[in-house]
Parts: sequence; C-alpha cells; structure tokens
Amino acid sequence: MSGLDDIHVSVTDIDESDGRLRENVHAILHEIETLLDALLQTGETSAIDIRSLPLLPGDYDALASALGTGEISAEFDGGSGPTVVVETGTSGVWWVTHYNDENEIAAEFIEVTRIPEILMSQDDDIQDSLKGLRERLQNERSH
Amino acid sequence: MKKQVTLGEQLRQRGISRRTFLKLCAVATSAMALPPAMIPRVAAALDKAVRPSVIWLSFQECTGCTESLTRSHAPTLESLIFDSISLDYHHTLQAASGTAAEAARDKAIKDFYGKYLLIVDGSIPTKDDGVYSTIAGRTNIDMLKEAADGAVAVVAVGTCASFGGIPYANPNPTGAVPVSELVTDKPIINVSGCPPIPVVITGVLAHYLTFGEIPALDSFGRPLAFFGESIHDRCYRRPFYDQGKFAKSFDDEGARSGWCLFELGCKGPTTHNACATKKWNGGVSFPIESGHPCIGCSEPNFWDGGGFYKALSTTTRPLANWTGAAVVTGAAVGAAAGVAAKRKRSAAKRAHHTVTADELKKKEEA
Amino acid sequence: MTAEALLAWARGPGMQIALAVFFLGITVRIVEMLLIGRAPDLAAPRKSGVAAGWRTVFHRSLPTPGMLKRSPLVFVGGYIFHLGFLIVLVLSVPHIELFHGVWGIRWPGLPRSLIDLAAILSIGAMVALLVHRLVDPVRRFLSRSGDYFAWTVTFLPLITGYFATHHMLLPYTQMLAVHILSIELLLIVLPFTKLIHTFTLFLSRWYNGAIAGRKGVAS
Repeated sequence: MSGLDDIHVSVTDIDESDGRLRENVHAILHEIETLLDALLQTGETSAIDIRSLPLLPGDYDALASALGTGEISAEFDGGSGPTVVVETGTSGVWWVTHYNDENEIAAEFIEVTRIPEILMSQDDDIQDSLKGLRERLQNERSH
Repeated sequence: MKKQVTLGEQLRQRGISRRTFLKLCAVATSAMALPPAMIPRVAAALDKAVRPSVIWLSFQECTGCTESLTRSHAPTLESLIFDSISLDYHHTLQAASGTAAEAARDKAIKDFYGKYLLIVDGSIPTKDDGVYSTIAGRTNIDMLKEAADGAVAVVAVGTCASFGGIPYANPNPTGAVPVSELVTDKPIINVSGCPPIPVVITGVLAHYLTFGEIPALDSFGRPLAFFGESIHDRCYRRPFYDQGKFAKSFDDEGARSGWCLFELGCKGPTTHNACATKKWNGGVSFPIESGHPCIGCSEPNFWDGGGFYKALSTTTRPLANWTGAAVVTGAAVGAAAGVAAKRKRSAAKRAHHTVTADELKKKEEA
Repeated sequence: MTAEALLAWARGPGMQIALAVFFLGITVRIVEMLLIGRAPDLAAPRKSGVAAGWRTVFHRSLPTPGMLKRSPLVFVGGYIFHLGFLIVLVLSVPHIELFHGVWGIRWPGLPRSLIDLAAILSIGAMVALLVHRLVDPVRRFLSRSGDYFAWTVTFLPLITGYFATHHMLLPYTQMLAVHILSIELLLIVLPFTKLIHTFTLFLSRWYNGAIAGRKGVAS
C-alpha cells in the first residue's frame, strides 16, 4: 500500500546557489526600490497587484519574509469580509490583504505609500458623521 | 418605470462605508486584471454604475461553466448577484421552474429590451433543425435568436459557446456551432476555457458594469486583459524550459523537481489564458503548478489538437509506418529506374559499333 | 485560415506529405544511383580501393593546402553553418521530441542558450556566405538560381525557428506554424535539388577515393 506520504515532492529553486534571493523576489524588490525612490522624490504613491505576478511556489513566503514585518498592523471589516493592512519591515511599503465574506483572499496588494488610503477616513464618511453629530447636538439642545 | 439607483447610492443606503466601497473597488480592479493605478477611476465609474439586467441561457453544455462561476471568490457570486448585477434568468441557479421560469425570461426580455446583457454557455446544435437540444419544447437556435435580439451584447461563456467545444469536436454529430455563427449583429465577448477561470467570468461582468462597455478583445473575441498573454509567457516553470530541464514522465526526478512539462505535451506556448497569474480555487494553484501540462482548453478546436500528452513540436499523426512505406516504395521505384537506366546503357553499348581508321578513310574516298 | 488551423495542418497532414515525399525521394535517388553503379575496372588493382575510399571521405573534410588562405570565409563559414545546423536539428529538445514522436527513440538535448548560440552562428555564417557569393565576381558568375533556392529553403527553417522560440515578429502560434511549414518545404525539395548532397556527399567521396586507390594514386 502506498499513501500520499510515499510520494516525495520537493520544489527546487531555479537559482540553485542558496542564500541568494529567488529570481522573482529579486525582480519585485528591484521594482519596489524604484517605487520607494519615487515616493521620496516626488511623493508619488503606487501599488503592485500580487495576483498579477506569476509567482513560484515559495516565492510568496520568500517575498513576505524579505520585506519583513514593521510596526503597524490594522484590520477593519465594513461588512464584506475583513481587510488586513500591515506595514512591512521596509518603511513606506505596506501589505494590504482584502478578504471576502467567506474569508478567502479576494485581492492582495503591496502599496508603496506613507499610509494606505484605505486606512484614512473618507470625506463621504466624515460628512455622514458630521451630519449625525450635528443632529445629535441639536436634539440635546432642544431638550 | 422607477428611477434607477446607482450602485454607489445603493451601497450607501445599505450602510456600506466609503472605505468598504474603496475595498470593493480594489477587489474589482484586481478581478478585471487592471493595474492598481486604475482603482480611483474604477471607484468613480462604479459610483455611477447602474445594475444591469443579465439573462443567462444554457444550451448544449455540462454546467461546468456555471459550477466554475459559483466558485468565484473575487467578487463572490453572491455579492455579484445581490450588489452588482440583476441575474433575471438562469435555469440552474434560479428557484423558479417550469412555466414560471419561462415567464421570468420573457418578462426580463420585455422589460429590459435593448439593455440587458445575454450570457450563453454551451454550443448550439443546428443539425436536423436543432432538435438535439430543446428547452420547454423550443430549440436552442430559436431561444438564442429571440434573446439575442434585445441584448446589448452577448457574453459567450466557456469554450463550447465561444468556439464549439466538445460537441463541435470531430465528428460533431449534432452539427453544433458556437454563438458567433448564429449571432452576427451584436458584440460578442468570448470568455473561453473549459471551464473559464471563475474570476475571469466575474471580471468581464465587472468590466461591463464598471465602464458600461465591452473590454478590448483579441482576434478571437476574448478580453485582452485575461487572454493577452500565453500560459508559457507567464509560467513560473518557464526558466526550466529555457535551461532545457524537462520532466520526461509523470513520476521521474524532473517531475518531482517541478521542471518544464513541454515534453509531456504542455500546450502552454500556444494557449492564451490567465491561469498562470489568476490561478484556480481562490488563487491556490493551476494545472501546471499541480504537475499537469496545459491542455489548451481556451483555444479553438483543442479537442482535435492531436492528443493532450504529445509535445507541441511533434506530429499529430503516427508516421512510423508511413515513412517505412515511403522507403519501401522509394526502393522499388529507385530499383526500377536503376534497372531501366542500366538497360538503356547496355542497349546503347550493343548499338555501338567500332570503326577503324582504314574504314573511315575508305568512306571518305568513296 | 486561423493560425491554430494552420498549425494543426502543418503538424498533421502537412508533415505526413512532406515526410512521405522526402523518404520516397531519397530512396529513389540513392537506390537508382547504386544500381547504375560504375563500369567494371578490368585492370589489375594496384591496391584495394576500400581503405582509400574511407581515407578520402575523411581527408576531404580538411582544407587542402593553401585553401584556408585563399578562401577562409568559405571554409570556416561553411563549417560553422553545417555544424550549427546539425546541432540545432539534432540536439534541441523540441526536435528530439519530434524524432521520438515519429520513431520512438530519444536522446538528451542541449539547453536553450547553447541551441540559440548554434542557431545565431549558423544564421550569421549563412548570411556571410550569401554576401560573399553575391560580391565575389567569380562566385556570382558560377551561381545559378538553384544555388539561391537551396540557400533560401535552408535558411528559412533556421530563422523562423529562432523567431518562434524568441517570440519575435509574429505570435508564437503563427511563427511555429510557419517554421514547421518551412521544414516541410525543405524536406520536399531536398531529394530533388543540390541539397541531396546531404546524402550523396560521402558516397561520392568514397567512390572517388576507391577508384584512385585501385590505381595506386592519391585522390
């Protein structure tokens, strides 16, 4: 009887000299370098759609560990599944993961910015809150 | 008719914050395979978008395309139906059945005439007046023509609807044809694949919803955003191809090491689809990543391509006997020609008679 | 006709026709030549011609004295092109798969980068030889349309194969179809043009060497 455990599968690196970065990770880090430079020079923000990259098995983890973990992590759920925003160990580089309401990853981005827009309070929401706050104050005054 | 609410208004009424709306836009942008820089434009467009009515007709098909659609995770089918489109007829997914179902379709066609999006999966049999596939006593040809008349565009989902698929394969017993052979006066978007990647189906719908127009298409009518590049171009095993490292069987060292599957018949170089980047099952994997060569399911006539496990550079027909026969015939013809030439030579030799100088002299004198 | 349909035809019926014509043509010509044979040499041989035949087969592959100085391009370019063509034909993996598909035998191939190098050198050498043929007055005078035709049908598979693997000029599917069709053209015309030298070269060298050997002279 043979079981699944008897089938040995190992993933070899394209680049067999270990200790060096995988080719894909190397390329993405180069792009991030350019984007970070642009952020400092011109203030231009940018993002990479992780789902658009042809990643090798293992590349994803390698990329995450190459970027490291930073100081900030935030999470919100506005009713369509959670979104997790984590600052990577590389300052100015954020890892944004959008889940759907079944907790599967719906989209994933690496954002190069001082703070992802999705964390900022939005004008529409502020206006709604302001309106609500004013109504509350008015009600209290009329009492 | 009541005033149509935009998607932005609708979501706000349901208490969805702008932040969550932006998240949905980011997800939609990724699903449409657009660059992240497009997110603000997608948001602006979705804000003003109106839910389109969608009619889905299933013909000569296996329901694999619908199965695929129900596994879409970005956006999920539920959020697509409840938030973004109004799926007014789909005989597998809807609760109504029998006459009520047919009535729902008639009503949707009437109410949204000239404005609804028609989705078709499956090919349409045309032999013997289309009798090989009927719904409620009506042939597929009849139903397609009626529904296409009032549609703003037709989305052919799956290889059967796009290119004929397995019913169209040799010898095509039902005379099956793709949608494009029956509908010629409407824009057609071919979302091929057997089945298509779920997020590609929803991505195309999202594109129509967002921009109110059909996306840029390739020469086969497929959206360029998903079908613009070959599997081979985006394959993570491509470096192995370049290095000449190939798996020779499904259980050798090369297969275990994840080398290129070209020799095992991979059709990646001639196949255009988004499998290598969008992947399947929520982005988990795709056939090549799971160790199986691409069979080219999003290309026309892939069933008749000469075998899933034969390398692309090989012939599609057995040639060993053929070449053997050619050599034998060649030898026979060559032998005949050789013998004939030899005979000619000996005949010439026989006809040749020698002349002496004396004889010539005599001739001259005479 | 779509690129897919063209490719399907090239891989199926096209290849069938081309290989049939090729093998038929080659066997017809070689069997005929062997059967015609040569007139019997009735003189007593000074030596056996067999060894001399083999020697000639080999040493005519080397430059004759002064040849390398007189026309280095023809010699070096010719060698590079022939060897490069052979390497690409026999050692590139997609081609090995083709041989395996037809006859069921397989051997190890070379990595793409080396095949590319061989192809580029071959293409370069062929272009140089063509230019030389056109520029040199004597060579141009000696050249007939058959020479240019042979050059073209040999050059096409090389260049289209290179374009296909590098995704240049045309989409891969179309280029692959054109590449296979160009090979089919080469296969079909090979037995009936000067390209038959692929098979008759060593045969005629051996004959020459053997005749000279029997007479006891160097060939």
